[in-house]
Amino acid sequence: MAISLDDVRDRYALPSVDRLLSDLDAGETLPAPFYYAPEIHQLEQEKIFSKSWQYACHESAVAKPGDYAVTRAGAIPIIVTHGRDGQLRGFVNVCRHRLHSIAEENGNKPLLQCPYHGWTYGLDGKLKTAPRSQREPNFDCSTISLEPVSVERWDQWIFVNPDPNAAPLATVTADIRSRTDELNEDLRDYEFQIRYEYDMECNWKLWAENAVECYHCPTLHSTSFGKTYHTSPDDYAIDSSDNTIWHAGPIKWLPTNVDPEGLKGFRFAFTFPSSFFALDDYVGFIGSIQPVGPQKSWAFVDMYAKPGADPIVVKEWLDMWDRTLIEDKRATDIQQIGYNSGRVRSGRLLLDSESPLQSFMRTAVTALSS
Amino acid sequence: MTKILVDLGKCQGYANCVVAAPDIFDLGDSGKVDLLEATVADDRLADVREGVRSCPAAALTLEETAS
Repeated sequence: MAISLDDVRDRYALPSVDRLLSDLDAGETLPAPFYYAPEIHQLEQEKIFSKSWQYACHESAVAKPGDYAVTRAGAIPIIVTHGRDGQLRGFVNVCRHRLHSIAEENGNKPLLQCPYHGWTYGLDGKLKTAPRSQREPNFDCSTISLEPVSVERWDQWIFVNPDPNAAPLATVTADIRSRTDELNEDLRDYEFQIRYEYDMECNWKLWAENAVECYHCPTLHSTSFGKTYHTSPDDYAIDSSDNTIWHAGPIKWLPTNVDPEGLKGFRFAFTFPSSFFALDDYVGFIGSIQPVGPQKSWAFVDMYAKPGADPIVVKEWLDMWDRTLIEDKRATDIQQIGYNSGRVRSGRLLLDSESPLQSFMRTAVTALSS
Repeated sequence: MTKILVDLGKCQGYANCVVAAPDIFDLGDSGKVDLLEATVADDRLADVREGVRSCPAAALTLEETAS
């Protein structure tokens, strides 16, 4: 560990953590350097992404013994395995030999052979063989294994945390479970349709902050999400806590001949720092936003649809979401320019409409200063 | 009928055979190859041949016998 938030403070004239938090209480956003400083990007990898729960894959990717799935948690490559003993395990997807990855894609194998030099691990992460190691005087395979990480199911989703001693995900997200139990139950039978990917020229937090507020929905999304769902403050509910944010809004635009009775509307659950899943009346999705650099990020959104749903309506809904997400990307890319300008030091939140941003920023600062 | 022959003395545990045909070859606790099937069904011949060919230690051979 090279740096702390204190070290960064002087360089960028940042206020103390106490001052940042009290400014946040008053509605002032985190100051601009949090969104462009390379040191903050580095600190976030260490203090946030190395020790937070993040979405890895759908349970079907690791459903049977031998299945393995690859993902990233911040800068850390992860592999999740379904062992011969039926247990799910997670490891840092880095070979203990010369640090190549064990796998680059999902698959099913009884053993994990690193494709570089053939070091072969069991699905339990233990090194079984290293070719020619019998010729080495001080080499004992049984003392070597992949670095473990934490893995936990959240209904049909698999989450990972690079910290092998992390507090359980169920504990960290306890406050939202009564809502997500129902959302995920409704979403369970849906089938994967398509992965949307977006490369942003902005800090990951700008995209995450966009995702957790809907104050922008009536304007930015006036022909997309804002046209399809009611987003006025009296119709659209938001609720936030330290680690989770919840949105719910009723449908506004009905496809032809559809009876609104029984429609549950849009529901969205965000888990700090970067993972989210949602269900509306036709499609569902799960995704995450990932930092690529101090001013670059990448998001994927995996779209799901109900089997047997009208394919024309599903296509319209999927297109609506892609347009919505493209609108978000354009906005956050432009925001980054404002943050980089150095002339406007911070923003001003409307606390009634943007309380999730307060939670998000507070959790981020608290983690960075830990 | 095709039989798989193993020279455990040569086997180094590369596991290329396991990668080629994981239903036929496994790696035992000894770190050497474990044969899950000693004779090869016709529909598995191609993958088994690849497993045999890809062994860097030349520890595997195939023997054709009259069925």
